[in-house]
Amino acid sequence: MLDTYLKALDLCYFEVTEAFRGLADEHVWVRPTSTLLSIGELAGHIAYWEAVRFAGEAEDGGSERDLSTCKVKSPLLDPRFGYFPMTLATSPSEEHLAMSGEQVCSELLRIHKEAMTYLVALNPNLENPAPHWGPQSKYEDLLRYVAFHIAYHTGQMYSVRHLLGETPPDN
Amino acid sequence: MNTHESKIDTKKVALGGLKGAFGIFLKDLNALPDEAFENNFGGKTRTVADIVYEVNLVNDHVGMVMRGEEPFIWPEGGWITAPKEFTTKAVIVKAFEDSSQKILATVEAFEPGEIEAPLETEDGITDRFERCRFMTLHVWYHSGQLNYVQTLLGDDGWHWK
Repeated sequence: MLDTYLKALDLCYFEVTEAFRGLADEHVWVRPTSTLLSIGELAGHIAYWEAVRFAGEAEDGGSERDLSTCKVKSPLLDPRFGYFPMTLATSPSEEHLAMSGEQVCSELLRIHKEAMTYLVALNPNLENPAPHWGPQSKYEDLLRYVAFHIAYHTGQMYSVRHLLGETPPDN
Repeated sequence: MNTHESKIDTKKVALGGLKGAFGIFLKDLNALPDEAFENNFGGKTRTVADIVYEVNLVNDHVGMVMRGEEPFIWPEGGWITAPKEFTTKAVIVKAFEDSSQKILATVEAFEPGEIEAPLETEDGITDRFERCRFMTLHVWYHSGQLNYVQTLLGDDGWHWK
């Protein structure tokens, strides 16, 4: 059953790579307006939540938002990308700004791959409650939400490209 | 118990995904003001009307294939744009509701075995479960875009949580 959701996530990341295809490097960290996140920031947001949910290591063995205990490390895993208002209020770091579109996309895919390694090793019963995901929510709900979360923000990456004047083949 | 190998209820998962995606999309559509539906922000973005028309077209096309009907020829040549009559919020929301209800009825009508059975498409052999997954993800992508349109209009609320 886990395989069903792993396939959905694979499909999500296929679309992520499409959203980055042909992206101008000078547009990676540009916010199209003062109230909308850049593509790099959206990638950081996707990466942050996937890593802390599946590779964050709390004392009870569940996931945790504390990046210091996260088993995946990356410049994209930064607290500033955790929550939209916090991201808007904080500019990307110099290290972030030096990353090209290809580097951001590659890093996002690497984080996903590593996070999935931990999930597969955990091999959760999808009927069981997911740690730090609400008392009534099961792992299956969490996996469905993560797929939604990636897809939702991938669609926004296309919107940013449109607003910056790009015309990617997909939309 | 190896949960990787436990049996999945494909019909339940497919319907749950579609209902969830359609519900979020509809809430975001309803949260948009009338004037948002034809706004392309100075020619830079697709309009909400374009997005909804494309979502409906994709779902209608997939639905025809799933039902074994001969699908219409997919319009090639760039991004899909809405027809002239697709103008008001009421018309667009109603069209989305009709299209999504038709897909849900289509999936509801299949036996679980039919959801998993091989399905021939113009891109090769797949199954109805995979087609439902594709439609769900596709609606989710465009839901995120509706959220960006809301933000462009000064609405930073969260309308489906």
